[in-house]
Amino acid sequence: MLTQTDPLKFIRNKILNDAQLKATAIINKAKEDYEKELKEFEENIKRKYEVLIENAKSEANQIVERKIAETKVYVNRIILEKKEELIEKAFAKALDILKTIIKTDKYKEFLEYLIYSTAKYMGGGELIVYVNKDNAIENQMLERIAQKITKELDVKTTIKLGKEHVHAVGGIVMKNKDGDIEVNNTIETLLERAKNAIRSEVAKVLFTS
Amino acid sequence: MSIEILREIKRFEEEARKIVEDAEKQAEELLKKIEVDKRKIEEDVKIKANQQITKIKEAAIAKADEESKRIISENEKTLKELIEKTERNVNNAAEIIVKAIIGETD
Repeated sequence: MLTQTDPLKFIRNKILNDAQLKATAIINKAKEDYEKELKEFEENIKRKYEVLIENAKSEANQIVERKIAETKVYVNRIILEKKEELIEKAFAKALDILKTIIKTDKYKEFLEYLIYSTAKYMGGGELIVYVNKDNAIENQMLERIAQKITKELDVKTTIKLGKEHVHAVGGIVMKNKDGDIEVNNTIETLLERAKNAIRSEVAKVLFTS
Repeated sequence: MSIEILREIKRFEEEARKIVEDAEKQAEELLKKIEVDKRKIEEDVKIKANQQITKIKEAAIAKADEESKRIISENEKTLKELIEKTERNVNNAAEIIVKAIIGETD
């Protein structure tokens, strides 16, 4: 029996060892595949999320840049509004100065020139000039201007003082006889026109040290 | 060989087949486990990435607010200087306006 058992034991060991080797190989291969696949998967997934992180960084930069741009627009608007306010202040101050000039002789000269230039602009004819209740205009002055216009334009011109008063700090409103042509040259209107015409010059004086 | 020996060998072979089958089962289990582990890895990576993304965005918002405050603060200084400087020039500007209106008589 002993002589028969030993070869049998050998055969058993051989069969089981082979099986064990095969089993180990199967498990090792599976482990290897498992680790390889998991590693590849992890690398891929990390790459995928790295892209998302990079996108987030880029988005973050955009958030900062956008906010800076918005703030700059906002502060520029504030500065522009302030500048507008200061320009308006200069015009308000100019009106104050004009109110004081109205009481001087210089204003009378100005008014005479204003009536003359307005009448000439209207092409002469029968004209009516309106002033505010505080401005007295001598008829002699109106006649003098009318004669000058008649001569210069070769159009018979008369200028009469209107009975109604204009509601303005100073200056005039002139109409033709029919009342269909009217030129408003009150101080307020002249100031408004000046706002457009000399705004940049005023801004230059204001904002240049 | 006797039948008994052949039977023994067949038993050994059966035992060997079981060993291999067990190994195959283990391998199969491992492959099944891989899907679970993948989900776990993805979940971990996703959580970490989202945390990072949240931090990046929070930092960006904080930086943007800080920059915005800095610009506004600088602007307030600029505005103050502008007003101080300009106040001195208002009279000159007003004179120019008056000249533009009354000056036509000159």
